[in-house]
Amino acid sequence: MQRLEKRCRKLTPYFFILPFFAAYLLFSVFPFAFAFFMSFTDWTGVGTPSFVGLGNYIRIFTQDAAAQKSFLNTFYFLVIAIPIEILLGLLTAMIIKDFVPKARGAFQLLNFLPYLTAPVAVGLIFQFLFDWDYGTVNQLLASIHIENDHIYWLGTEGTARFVVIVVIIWRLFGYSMIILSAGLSTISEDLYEAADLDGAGWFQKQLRITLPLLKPILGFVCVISLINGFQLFDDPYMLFASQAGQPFGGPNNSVLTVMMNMFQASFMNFQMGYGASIAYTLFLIIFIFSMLLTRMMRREDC
Amino acid sequence: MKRHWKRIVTLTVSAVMAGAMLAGCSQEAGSNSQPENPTVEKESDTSSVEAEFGASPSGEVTIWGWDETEILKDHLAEIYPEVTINYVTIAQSDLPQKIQTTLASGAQMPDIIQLESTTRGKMYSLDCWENLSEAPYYVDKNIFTVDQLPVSVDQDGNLLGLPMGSVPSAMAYKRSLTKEYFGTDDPEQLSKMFSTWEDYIEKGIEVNEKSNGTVKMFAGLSDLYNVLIGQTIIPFTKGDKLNVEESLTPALEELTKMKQAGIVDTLEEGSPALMASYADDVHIFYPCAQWSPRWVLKPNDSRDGAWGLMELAGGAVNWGGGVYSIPKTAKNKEAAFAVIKWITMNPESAVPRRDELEVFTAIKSVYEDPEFYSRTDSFFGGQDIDKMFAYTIIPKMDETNVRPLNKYDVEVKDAVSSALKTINASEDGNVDVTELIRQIETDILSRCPELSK
Repeated sequence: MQRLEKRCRKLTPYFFILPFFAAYLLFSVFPFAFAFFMSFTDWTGVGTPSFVGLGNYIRIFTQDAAAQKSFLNTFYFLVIAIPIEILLGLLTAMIIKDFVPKARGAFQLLNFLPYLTAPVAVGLIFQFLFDWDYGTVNQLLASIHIENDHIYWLGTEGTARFVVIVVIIWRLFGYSMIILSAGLSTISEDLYEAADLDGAGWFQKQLRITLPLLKPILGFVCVISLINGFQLFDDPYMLFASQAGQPFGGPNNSVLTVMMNMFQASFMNFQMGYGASIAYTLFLIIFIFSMLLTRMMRREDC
Repeated sequence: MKRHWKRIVTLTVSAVMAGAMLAGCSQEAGSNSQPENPTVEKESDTSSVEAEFGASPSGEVTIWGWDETEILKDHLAEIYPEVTINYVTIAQSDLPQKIQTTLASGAQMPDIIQLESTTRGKMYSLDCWENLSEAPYYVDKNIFTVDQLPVSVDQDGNLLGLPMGSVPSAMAYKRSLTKEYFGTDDPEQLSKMFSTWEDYIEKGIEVNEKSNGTVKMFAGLSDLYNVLIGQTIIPFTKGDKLNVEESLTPALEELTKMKQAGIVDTLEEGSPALMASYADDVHIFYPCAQWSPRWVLKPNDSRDGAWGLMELAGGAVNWGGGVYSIPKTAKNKEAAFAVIKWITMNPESAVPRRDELEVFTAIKSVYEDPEFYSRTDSFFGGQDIDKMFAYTIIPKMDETNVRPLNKYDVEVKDAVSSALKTINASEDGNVDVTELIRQIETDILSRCPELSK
C-alpha cells in the first residue's frame, strides 16, 4: 500500500501538467504533423488521400504560375511596406515621446486604433476610399486638380498593389509604434540630459543614443513584422475577395499573397494536400529568414 | 487507510465528473428520436401526405442554407408533426468552406444543405451527396421544369439535389429614361425594339449622342457577362481539356463591342456605386433575375412605378438559384428527404413559397394553371412581372439554353472577373480578346494542373 502511495505521489505532478500537454499535442503538434503528411498527398478533404511524393512541391515551383506570383507579391509587399511601417512607427514613437509627452497616451491610442480595427471594416473603408467612380481619393484628387481622370485604383495591377501597401502601413505602424514606445521608455533620461549638456541636437540624440539602445527592441519588431509580412492575408483579402465579382487575387493576381493562395487552394479549390504544401513552403521560408535576421543582429551585437 | 479511501472517493468523483462532461460533448447526447416540441403533438390530417410519401418521418432535421426556408417551418410542422426543423443560416459565400471543413474533420454533416449555382459544380464533384435518382429515393426528374435539370445533375447526369425553384431572368429598365430616349415604356414594344444585343449597341450610340455621353445603356459589365454566358451552353471543359476559348469568346467579344460603343458604364459588381445607380437617372437597363426585384431593385430604389420589365435580347437565361442536397453522412436521411420532397415536389408547397418567399417553384405541373403566378406590382408601374417570368420566359428555357454545371465554374468565374477588370480599365474598349482568353487559360491551368489546353 505504501509503495502504491509513493507511486501516486510521484505521478501526481505529471497528472497536473497532463491537460496542458494533451491540449498541446492535440491542437499544435498533431495538426502540424498531419499537415506535413497531407502535403505529400492529393487529399481534397473528402475520401482517402493518395500519396503523390514531392509532386505538390514540384508543382509550386514549376507549374503553378499563380503560386510563383504569390511569392513574388509577398516579397514585394515585405520589401516596400515593412521598412516604411517600422520607420513610421519609430518616428511617431520618438515624436510623441519628445514633443507631446503630456498627451502621450491619447496620441498612442489614436495611432494604435487602426491596428485594433476589424479587417472587414478596414477592407470596406478602403474599398469606399479607393472606389473608381465615387471614391473619396479620386474626388479629392479631382477637386485639387491633380488628376481629373478618375484612377482605377482597384482595377489595375500597379495601383491595386499601391492600395494594399497603403493599407498595410496604415494598419500596422501603430503596432510597431507601441512596441518601440515601450522600448523608448526604458532608456534613461540621464543620457539625454548629458547629451543636452554636450550640446547635442534632437537628431543627434536619436542617432547616438536612441537607436543604439533600441536595437534589441527594433530587432524584435523586425522579426515580428517579417513574420506578419509573410503571413499577409487580411488586407488584400478584404479589399478584393470580400466583394462579389472581384477577382480573388486582385487584377491578374497582382495582390495574391502566399497565404491567400494557400487559402484558395485548400478551401476554394478543395486541394487540401496542395494547400498544405504551400503552407510548409512558407513555413520554411519564414524559418530561414527569421534565423538569418536573428543571427545578423546577434553578430552586430558582438 | 482513511487517506487512501479519501483518495479513492476523490478519484471516482473526478472520473464521474469528467465522464459527464465528455458525455455532454457527445453528438449522441439527447436522442432525437422523440419530438422535442410538445406542440407538434397536435392532430393534423397527414393521411394524404402519408399515402403519397410513405411512412411519416420523425426526428430533427438540420438544414444549412442562406435563404428563408425557415419560413416554411410552420407548414412542415403541420405536415410532418414528428419532424423538428433546425435551420442554420450560413452566408452563401461561406457554405463551401463550411462543408469542406466539416467533411475533412469528420464532424457531423447536417441533413440538408442548400447549394448555390456557382459553387455547385465543384461541390457535386466531391463524392459526398446522395444520388436522389437512385434507391431509395427514385425521384422522377420529369416532375421538374426542364430549365432546372441541367443545373441539378452532376456531369454524369446523377440528380444530386432537388431544385429550389425556377430562376428566369429578364431586363429591367427605368421607364422615364426609355420614354425620353426611345419614345415608349411599354414592355412589349421595348422587347421588340431590343431583340438582339446589336440593337442595344445601335440605340446606345444614339443615346450617347443625345445625352452628350452622360446617359449609359448599362451600369457595368458584370451582370451583362452573367447573362451573356448564360445564353451559351458550350462547356468550359471537355473531358480534361480546357474549352474556354470556344465558350467564353462570344461573350467577351460582345462585351468589348459594347465597351467600344461607349454604352456601358464602369460600375463594378456589388460595389456601392452600382447599388446607388439603381436610383439615378443615368443608367437605363439592368439584367434582372426573378429574385432581383426583391433583393436588389427595391432595396436600392424606393420610387414607385419607376421600373418596367422586358424580355432579354438573345433568349431566356437561368440566373442563380439553388438546390437542396442530402449529404451521404446525414443522420436523418428519411426525414430530410421527406422535407425536401414536400418543398420541391409537392404542388401544395408552391403556394407558401410564392406568397411568403416570393420564389417560383420548379414543379412543372404548377405552371399548367395560367393564373397561378400573377401579381401586379406598383413598383413596376402595375406590370404583372410574375406572369411574365412564369408564362413568357420560363417556357422558353430548356436544355438547349441553360448552361449545365461544371466542376471548374468557380475558377472560370474568378479568372473572368480579372478579364472584366481589364476591359473595364480600357478607356475605348480596344482590348485583345484572344489575349484575355490566354490570360484566363493560364490562370485556370495554374490552379487546376489536371486540365490541359
